[in-house]
Amino acid sequence: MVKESFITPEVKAMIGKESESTTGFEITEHEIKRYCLAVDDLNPLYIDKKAAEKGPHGGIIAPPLFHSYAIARMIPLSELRPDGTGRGGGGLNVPLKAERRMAGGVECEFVRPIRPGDTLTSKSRIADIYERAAKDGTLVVFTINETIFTNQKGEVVAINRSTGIAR
Amino acid sequence: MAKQLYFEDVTVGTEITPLVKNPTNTQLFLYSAATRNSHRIHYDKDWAAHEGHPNVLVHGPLQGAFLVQVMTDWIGDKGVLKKIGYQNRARCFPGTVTVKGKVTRKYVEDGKHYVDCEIWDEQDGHVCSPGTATAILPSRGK
Repeated sequence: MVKESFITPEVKAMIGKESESTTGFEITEHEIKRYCLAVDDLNPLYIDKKAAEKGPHGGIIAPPLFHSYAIARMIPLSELRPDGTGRGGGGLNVPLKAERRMAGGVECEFVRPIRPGDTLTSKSRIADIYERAAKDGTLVVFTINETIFTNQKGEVVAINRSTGIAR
Repeated sequence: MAKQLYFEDVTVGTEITPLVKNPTNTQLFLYSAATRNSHRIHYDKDWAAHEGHPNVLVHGPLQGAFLVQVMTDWIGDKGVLKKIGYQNRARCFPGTVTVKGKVTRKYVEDGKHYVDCEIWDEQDGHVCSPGTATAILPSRGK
């Protein structure tokens, strides 16, 4: 069975497309500690100022993955879907004629420590869209979305790459 | 507090010290709040049932945080986690989650001592979230 490619010119044109930048809130020791309590990781490097100051980073740092939550989505109740989620994707929605969607996975690169007093900015882009044949011959589309997080000095602190699967 | 791990202490196949987590409904609520996530599937059992689940679901990124912790606890204060990747493959519910892993590669690059690991979250004997991680370990400098 020959299936039509999902990668139409309209879809291909999305490769490289970038979102607007979004800047988050100023990170505090309090917000870091709140996240640590929520994930139940009480590593002193994140929550004990005296211990952290004696440690390799000279002060409190945020745990890896915290960066994803340092930029808050602020959505009014009236704009939430019935399931409680917010709409919108930063304008990077790829018009795929594939109905079944799955999250393929996420990869995070931790470039620099994140500290209280930092403010992060994120910017996303569609890094790639490609197609592969599954074992049954049907086509599966992979969309790679890359988000770069920088701090107030313009230094890259983290990079997220998430893969969306559609068929 | 565990002893600091060094590059010379591990080989391919070395097991990472397992970590046991116990995500409760309360934890899921606090994690939703801390991450500003209002998705009902994590705190509203009736809605979860409406979507076909027997209970509320543990957030994918919370399972990711467990994977981060199995690495950071094991590599110690002098280790640096550089990369983590994971897939939320099977649903995970409130209850015991065991996080495990093992070293798949060790190498030196640009004077830094790296380990690549395979890691995963497990519940009731099956894998919920498989993943990989890369960390830099201190070396005794031989």
